[in-house]
Amino acid sequence: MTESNQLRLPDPTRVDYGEFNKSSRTRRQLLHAAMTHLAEEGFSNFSAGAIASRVNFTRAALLYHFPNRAALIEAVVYFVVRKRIEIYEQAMSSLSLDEKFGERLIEHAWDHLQDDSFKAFCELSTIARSNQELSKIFQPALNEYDRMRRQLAFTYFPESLLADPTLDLRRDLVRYLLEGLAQQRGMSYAERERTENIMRLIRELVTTKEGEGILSRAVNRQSALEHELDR
Amino acid sequence: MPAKATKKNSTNEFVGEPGAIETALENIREAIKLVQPDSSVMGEVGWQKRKSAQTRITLLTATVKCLAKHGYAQTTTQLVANSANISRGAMLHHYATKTELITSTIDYIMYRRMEAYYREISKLSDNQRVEQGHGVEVYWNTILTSDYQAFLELSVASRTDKELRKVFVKKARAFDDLWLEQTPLVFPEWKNQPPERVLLARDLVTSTLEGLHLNHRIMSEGGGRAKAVRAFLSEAIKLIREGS
Repeated sequence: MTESNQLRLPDPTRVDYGEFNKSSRTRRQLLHAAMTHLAEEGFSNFSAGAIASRVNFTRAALLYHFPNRAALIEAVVYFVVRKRIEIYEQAMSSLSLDEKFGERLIEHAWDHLQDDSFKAFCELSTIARSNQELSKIFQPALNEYDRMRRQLAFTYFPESLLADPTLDLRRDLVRYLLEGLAQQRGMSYAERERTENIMRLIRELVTTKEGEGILSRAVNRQSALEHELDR
Repeated sequence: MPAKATKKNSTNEFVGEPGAIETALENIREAIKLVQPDSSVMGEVGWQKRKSAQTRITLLTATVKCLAKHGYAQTTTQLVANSANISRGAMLHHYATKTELITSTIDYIMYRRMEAYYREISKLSDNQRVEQGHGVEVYWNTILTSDYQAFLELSVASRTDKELRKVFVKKARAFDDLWLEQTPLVFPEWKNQPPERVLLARDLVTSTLEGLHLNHRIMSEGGGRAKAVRAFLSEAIKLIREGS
């Protein structure tokens, strides 16, 4: 089966038949406001009125596009995930395939996490754990995000990296470490220094020979464990 | 804070000695006791005082459950009182406002998570702890609990709730300090390491596992990928300790 390089998520800004083209722009504007609102005010303050007034629309105008809270939430989930993929792809397509590729990718990944789309994502991910309704929309979207990110790696990573058995581990490691760090921002003392130290460490781990050593040891350890379980 | 007994200069005395982990656990249990607000309410003596402390623990435990199940916004003093089977009056006697209740809960969760973690670490053999880095798995298991879920709810809510943020950040930092102090007791192999290195190892493990948890459900199918990440962490902390 060939994996699709297209994101398999509805585009919530798409204009349905018979609507004016202007609607798409309006929807984009409203969803952007909803995402920012989620990042700044949290899910508990996620109301149509507050979101509409952020971009000087009336509540009625918003409800014309997203008739109820559930429709709005669904749309914002898709919007946030699409936005993250968009940012990621943009960064990847601008990187040149030289020896600095890995290092710069880490920098881009970190910058991407400072965007409102990641803050909104954290909010959604956490709330989805205690909210069934949100979880039903969020989980499939998250799976699709994961699949798409992997596809993009196959499109943009240098051949040498793609052939490496530690590829998934490197990708996962950078992603989780950076997301964990970004999520905790502002919570610890000496944060700048600690963040710098850990960023230096992760760069070394995924771009140097010593790092390669532990990456493959970890992969081997993992497959040895799985072998044991199979028996 | 009771942990002062083992503070910086005197830390070495305990390191590597048998019973060091017990000392750390004891310190934390003492700290948990401090979390319960002063129960010297007029007229309370003897069993009544004990009962009062018990009620607070019941309320704090119920708060943790409510946070994990319903989220921060839905966790009202009324909901907590109901789920703890405690009258609204008794609730208000102990915690007059949601802020008071949540403030105590933050301490309670932080110390409880720390205690659970150290308790599990103390069950590991030296080889499991030092050579195999099983501490990573132990930390991962604490992340899968409702204590962590409640902690996360508070952490996320504190990003957008300014009042909560002030309390939460202050406590999170104090907790970080306490953690750094207790580490050499629980992990004697780290005793002569510079604090930056201890912090680096800790930050690497906690951030990565918390990031993993943020995406946890997608990993349930590809459990192998998540395990490889954890195996990597176990290898990486050894490397940090060896100083390369």
